Amino acid sequence: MKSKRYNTFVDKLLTRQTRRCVTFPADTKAESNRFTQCIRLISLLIENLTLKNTVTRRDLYYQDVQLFKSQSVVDSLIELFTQCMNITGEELGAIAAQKGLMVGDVTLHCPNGVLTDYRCFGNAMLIPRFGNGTVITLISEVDYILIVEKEAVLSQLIKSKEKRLLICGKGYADVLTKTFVNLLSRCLPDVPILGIADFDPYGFLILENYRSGKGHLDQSCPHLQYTKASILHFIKGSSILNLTLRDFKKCVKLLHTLDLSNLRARQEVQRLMVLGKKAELDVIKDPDGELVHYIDRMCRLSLK
Amino acid sequence: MVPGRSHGSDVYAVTVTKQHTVTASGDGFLKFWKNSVTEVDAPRDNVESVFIDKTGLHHVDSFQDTFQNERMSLIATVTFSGRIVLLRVTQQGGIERLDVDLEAKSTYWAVRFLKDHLGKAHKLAATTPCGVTKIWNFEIGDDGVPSFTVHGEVKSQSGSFATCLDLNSEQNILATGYQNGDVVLTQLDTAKAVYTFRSFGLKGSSQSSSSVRCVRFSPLGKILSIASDSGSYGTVTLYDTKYGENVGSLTIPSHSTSTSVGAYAHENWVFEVDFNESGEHLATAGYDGKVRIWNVETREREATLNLSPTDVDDEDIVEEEDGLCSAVGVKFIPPGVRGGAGGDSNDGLVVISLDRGIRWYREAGGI
Repeated sequence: MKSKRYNTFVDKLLTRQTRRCVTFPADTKAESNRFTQCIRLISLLIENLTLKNTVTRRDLYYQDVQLFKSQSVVDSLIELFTQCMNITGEELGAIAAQKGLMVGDVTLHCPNGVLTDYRCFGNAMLIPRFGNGTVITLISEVDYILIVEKEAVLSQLIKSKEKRLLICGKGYADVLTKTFVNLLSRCLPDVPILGIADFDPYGFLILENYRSGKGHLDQSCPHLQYTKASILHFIKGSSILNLTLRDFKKCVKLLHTLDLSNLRARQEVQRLMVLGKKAELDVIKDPDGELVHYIDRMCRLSLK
Repeated sequence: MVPGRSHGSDVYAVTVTKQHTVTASGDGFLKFWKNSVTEVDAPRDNVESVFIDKTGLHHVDSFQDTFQNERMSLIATVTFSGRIVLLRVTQQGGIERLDVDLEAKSTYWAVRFLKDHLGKAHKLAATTPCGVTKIWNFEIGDDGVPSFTVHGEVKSQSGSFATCLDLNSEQNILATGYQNGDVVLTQLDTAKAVYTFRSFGLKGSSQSSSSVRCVRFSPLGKILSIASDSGSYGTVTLYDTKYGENVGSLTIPSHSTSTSVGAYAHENWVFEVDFNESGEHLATAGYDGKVRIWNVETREREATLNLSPTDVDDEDIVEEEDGLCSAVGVKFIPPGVRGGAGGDSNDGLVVISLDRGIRWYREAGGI
């Protein structure tokens, strides 16, 4: 039994993501690096587990910055381990640092019967950690859930009187934020989930990551909708920029991957390319709160 | 009779042949609207749709010739993934996709045909996002299928995105417009640059657009008209192609003191310009929802068409765009093309807009 598990583990190491074979002794420098990274991370994890410590992935990365080189290396390895062994990051003793923010009042119902209220009192708070089987309910009614890309936009939107729950992943959302959105979509199937981001390929990629969960069903939110906000509304504004060649290539890639039914996103990406422009939801240039009114209006339009 | 929701997504390009008005859309379809319809026919009942690519289409151009005493046309369209797709339309109206591979590795943006009146070296040219303009020669073979050979390429000095191009056989020249506001005029035979026209648009700020959106030669190739952004305004400038001199711009009188920019043709970007067959008139399509007809000689505005959401058949109105009817494309329709046998003896126009409408206009007692 043990060896079978080990074999699938190795198989996955071999086939997943890089498709690079990790053997010892290694053939190439990159491979030996990867092998060392694997072993080092496993030893760090074992050390923590025996001490019954739970650490963040960020902490693990800081244990050996020189070896791991970037946070994403640690993240992808941990993800690999959890997938191969079919356990959660928590069980492995390596959790993601909380990054996502939310504004709204919710109650988490843990499977063991414990209820926890999270009230924001007009401030953004970190998205709480929760275990499998948790159920979420709203303390106060909302018309919709809005996902935003940037924290700056979130902090402006707090001032609005709209009845909504706000989520912000600060750029590319982490696993916890995506799982939280997935939980919301499962527990509150009647509440529409809208998303707004910058009008550049990265903005669309960020929203797409929420939608698809990058292939993880428990992190996806298929009924995330795009608002009626469009690059067209920004043409006369001062926040419009030229689309670079790099952006253009990203857009082409996006059009290949975007679902055909995702008409709004496809249309907007095409418009970026045809206009040769991109625009940021720039709150710094918005002292009169015009942008907030605009977003509110676009959200309401999308619900009709 | 204006079909409103003509495509499943934005309509980005239009071209006119004797038989069809052809539109290309982000929904990936080419639509062939029969020109032989009369006032009482619904265009919607006289259209053929051809699905090309799932990423969508953004450019289309046409080429017309006679082959074995029968009229035929070639249609070139570019997908958002950067591929050029060619189709052939026979005199009987049969539409057939051709299997022509034009260096599929490259990514293309704008495309234009050039007809050589001697029938020997027709050309097809296309721009790329990295600023290169590629030129092919082609000949129609005995089977009626064109065969292509590479003629040459024009590299850009700046590496800026090559947004648009046009070719002219009379003067044997090519013009390419770039995102940074430059337009380069090239000798076709040698593929050598002759002139570079720099933008008059606002400079000095990265947020002030000066992109070139369209370049078009007059039929004799003596004048090059350039549509480019000036901040959020749209300008149209005319150049003499022989001496490379600016010979004026098309402007509307401005009474507003709030605009310091002054000379512009439309209050928002100009997406396409087109000369009529005689070269007397130039039509400009503005994002401001207006199409203007200019007298090229006097450089005066002769008519303005205001696009309105109420133009289209009621149930077809696309409401989501706040009644936006921004014109993104315009083409003249030569006399006698639209309206069937004994149809119009004057120039007509076709305008595409962001409300997904296709509007055909005919001249009523002088536009």
